Amino acid sequence: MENLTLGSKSYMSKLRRSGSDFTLDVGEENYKGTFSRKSNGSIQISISDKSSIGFSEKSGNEIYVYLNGVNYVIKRESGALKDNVLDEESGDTILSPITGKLLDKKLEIGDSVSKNDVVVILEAMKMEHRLKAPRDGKLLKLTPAGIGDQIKEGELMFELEEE
Amino acid sequence: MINRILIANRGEIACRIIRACNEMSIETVAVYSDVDSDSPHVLMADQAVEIGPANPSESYLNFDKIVDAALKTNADAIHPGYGFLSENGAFAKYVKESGLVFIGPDATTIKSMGDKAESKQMMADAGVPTIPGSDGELTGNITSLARDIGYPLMVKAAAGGGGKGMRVVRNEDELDSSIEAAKNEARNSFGNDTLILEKFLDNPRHIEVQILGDQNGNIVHLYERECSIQRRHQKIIEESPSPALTNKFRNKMGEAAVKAAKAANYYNAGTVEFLYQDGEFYFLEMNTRLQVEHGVTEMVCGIDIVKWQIRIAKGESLTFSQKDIKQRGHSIECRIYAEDPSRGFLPTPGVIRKMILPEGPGVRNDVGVSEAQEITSSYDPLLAKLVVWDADRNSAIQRMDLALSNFIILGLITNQPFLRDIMKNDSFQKASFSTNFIDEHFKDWDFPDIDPKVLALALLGSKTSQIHVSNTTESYSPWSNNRGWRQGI
Repeated sequence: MENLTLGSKSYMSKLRRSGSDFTLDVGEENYKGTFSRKSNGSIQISISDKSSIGFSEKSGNEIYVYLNGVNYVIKRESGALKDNVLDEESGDTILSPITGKLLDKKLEIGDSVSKNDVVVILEAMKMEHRLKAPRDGKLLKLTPAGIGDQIKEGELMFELEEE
Repeated sequence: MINRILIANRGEIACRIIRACNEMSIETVAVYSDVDSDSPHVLMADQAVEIGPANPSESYLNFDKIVDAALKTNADAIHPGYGFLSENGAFAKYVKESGLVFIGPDATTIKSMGDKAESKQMMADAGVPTIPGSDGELTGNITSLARDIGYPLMVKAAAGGGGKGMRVVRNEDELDSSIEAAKNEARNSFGNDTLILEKFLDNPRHIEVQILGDQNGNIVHLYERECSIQRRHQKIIEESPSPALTNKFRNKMGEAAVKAAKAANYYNAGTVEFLYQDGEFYFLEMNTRLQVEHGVTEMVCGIDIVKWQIRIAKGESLTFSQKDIKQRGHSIECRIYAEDPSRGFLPTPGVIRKMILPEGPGVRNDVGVSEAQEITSSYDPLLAKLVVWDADRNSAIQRMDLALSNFIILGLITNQPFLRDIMKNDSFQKASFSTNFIDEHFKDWDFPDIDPKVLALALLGSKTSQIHVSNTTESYSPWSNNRGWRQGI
């Protein structure tokens, strides 16, 4: 089983293939289909006799799919990565939502923060992004990056001390 | 004479300008920052000069580096495109003083139109409608002044910006307390509590008029563009004509724009932006440059705006008058951005691993990126502009949706699925919208549920991309022939 996510939705999926046939499990559902590769790199795929032609490529943990007029970026997540996401959602650890440049750090480690205080300001593609404290607390960790340094998406920006 | 033009820009607009030059047999010089060395605009131009690191202030915004590159390559003129230095009066002046032609209006015009208060006053003096409000500091009987302007109105800090010191006042009961609050906020934020009152437009459309003027005093308008579909106060879909205007009103707005341009001693291409609500329109600002969305006007008027910018800069006169200019059919533009519409339109840098552009009758692609290119976080996330033309608005919407559905771009998140949803939206199709459209209809937009076939394709076909970012010197470009001429297109 692999966890494929798109935006806020996730799909536990598994694919078994034999020749040009495949079976696909998505959660409790089960599908049977066929596929064939075309010389221009596209793939013709059909499930229950409905056929479409699409493209698919991957890089790292991302898969890019074009099918039926929509381009998708699907993330492939292992169990470990999923824990990280849960950590982020708990609200104590704030990761960078973008790849960009560190514009400013407003506080230092040990400082007290109130909910919605701006802690870090990032810039990407000419836009500012302000990362705010999700609750009142004390700053436990802060990115060691200097002003003007590059920041990657998913990099830890700051963490609040446990309540 | 203009025989060689340096284009002080990058991306799709630099490519657009190079194409116009090619068609006019004018040689082109591109400039580029180190991260842009393999970008399409560099490969398309006759020559290219590296002007520094990615940070725009050290490259695309640096007066000296750009003018030096122009002098060194014996260019006669500089085209600034949009953004970067295009509305910088000091740059226009510097270009002229360096013995080069600036393709745009005079430096003093750029400067006065760039000052909000000065341009508003200039327009009011010329009889162009402006948003009614107090002139200067609030004195005397504020309640009666507010009554004259009419509710709802806006209390604004004169020194303001960024939404600070601004209050919407719905009725007279709220007036005193709003003024007090705005004053405090203005004092704390700007150290200056001077306030002004202005009529508040809660449901406006953004409609703008394209202007073309030569250096011999002839000014015409090329009708309007409807640009109300915006996110974060930035346009994503534009069309011409505007479905909101009657012909009578369209002409009235065009005449006002010409009046505005005359008041500003305007020449070259420019755009007069208006807000439109309840049958009234008000001057917003004048953009003294080529507009991103100029393509929709070119499609309906049959006039190449970029070529005319160059002819005007050479001193040529317009060869047509107002009565010769007609709008024909309907044109729509969608801006394809590297951004995530499900997460507040956050920019999404990445590498373009596959790109196949839609084709067909009435479909135009203005593109500044190519396969294997890395889209970095250094620049604007605009990847491409998809423009369609058809006989009427409904047909154009249908053609746009089909063209969007055939726009294949893999490797990064784009707003492509979001744009398709707008094309299918009932209010959009009925042309019933204001600048609040996206907030009203798509506030919690998310990607569509995934079809099992998409999941199967993801797990089946996902061979690792052959594109490596470090390997960008490889000659992948369709633009690699040297003069940019492409037969049979």
